[in-house]
Amino acid sequence: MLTVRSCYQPTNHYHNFRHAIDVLQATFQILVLSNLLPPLPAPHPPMQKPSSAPSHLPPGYFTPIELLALCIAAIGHDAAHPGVTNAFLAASKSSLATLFNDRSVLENLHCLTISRIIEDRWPALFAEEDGGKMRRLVLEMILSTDMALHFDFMEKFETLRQSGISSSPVDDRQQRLICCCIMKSADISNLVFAISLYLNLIGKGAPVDSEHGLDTCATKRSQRTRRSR
Amino acid sequence: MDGVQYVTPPSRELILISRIIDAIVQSFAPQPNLLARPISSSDLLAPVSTAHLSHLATIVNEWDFHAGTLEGADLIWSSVLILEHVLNFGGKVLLPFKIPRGT
Repeated sequence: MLTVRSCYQPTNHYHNFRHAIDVLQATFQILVLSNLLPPLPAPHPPMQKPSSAPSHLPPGYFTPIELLALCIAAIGHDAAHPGVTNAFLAASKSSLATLFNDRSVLENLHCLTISRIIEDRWPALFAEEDGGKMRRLVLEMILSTDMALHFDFMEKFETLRQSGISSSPVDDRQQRLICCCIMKSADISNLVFAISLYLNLIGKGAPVDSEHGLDTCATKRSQRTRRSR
Repeated sequence: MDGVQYVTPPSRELILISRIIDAIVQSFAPQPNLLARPISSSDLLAPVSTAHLSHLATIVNEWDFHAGTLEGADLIWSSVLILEHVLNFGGKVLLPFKIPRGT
């Protein structure tokens, strides 16, 4: 965890180590509220669950492998974030964007970073003994946090929601989609922050891209593309 | 000459921005020397009492808690608590992944 922390930029107003732990805790809470994981043993009982938090997942839907993969993905999902967007990296023709062919540049960087740390500091985690399932799952979840792919992801999720979740036997593809959905939900859980906390965390950093006249908002661009289709 | 486009070199400003970003990324991505570096005593966290960990566990269990209320080493300890909890919950399945604290 010390090495992971050292890879998050303290000067990054939002995508810093605090955000990583924040997303980890949100992931943990989603699992607890869904009855997939018990709360931490603590002297004081946890607060009462919100009544509007029904679980649509059958008990034991995830194996311990998925639960641990979710936590690892949450911790590493923004590792080494440089504080600019994918679109900005592509528009400014950075070598990082060239390396990853302008596709999910940051998310690929996060995957690379957390992979290298785990292979060095916790090699058993990504060992091939489980057929590489843990590694594949972690990387897939981190890559799914690219907001440029959000609408495509939501189309798949809506199809799943309408068809229903298959739990016996568990459909591996559905299970991975739900893992990604939990990861994405935790990543944007800042939307339900208390406003005082939110203002405290966001800081005063101004977007760099608009300063340089670059049209780089991935979500807006994606929306425009969808409209033009 | 209508319809002919000439390729112009990127502006100096864009080249400069690109170099700055590259420098930032390279300085924070885990370099081989970072991973090879042994953890020094100054990197290690100060000892923490069981009572403090219990207090942290209570905070982490709150469904409307967000890490914005924690500082410094408590951010690391809260993540350690969650990881240990998942590893313990996973029983035999996650036994090969277990590592003791402080390694």
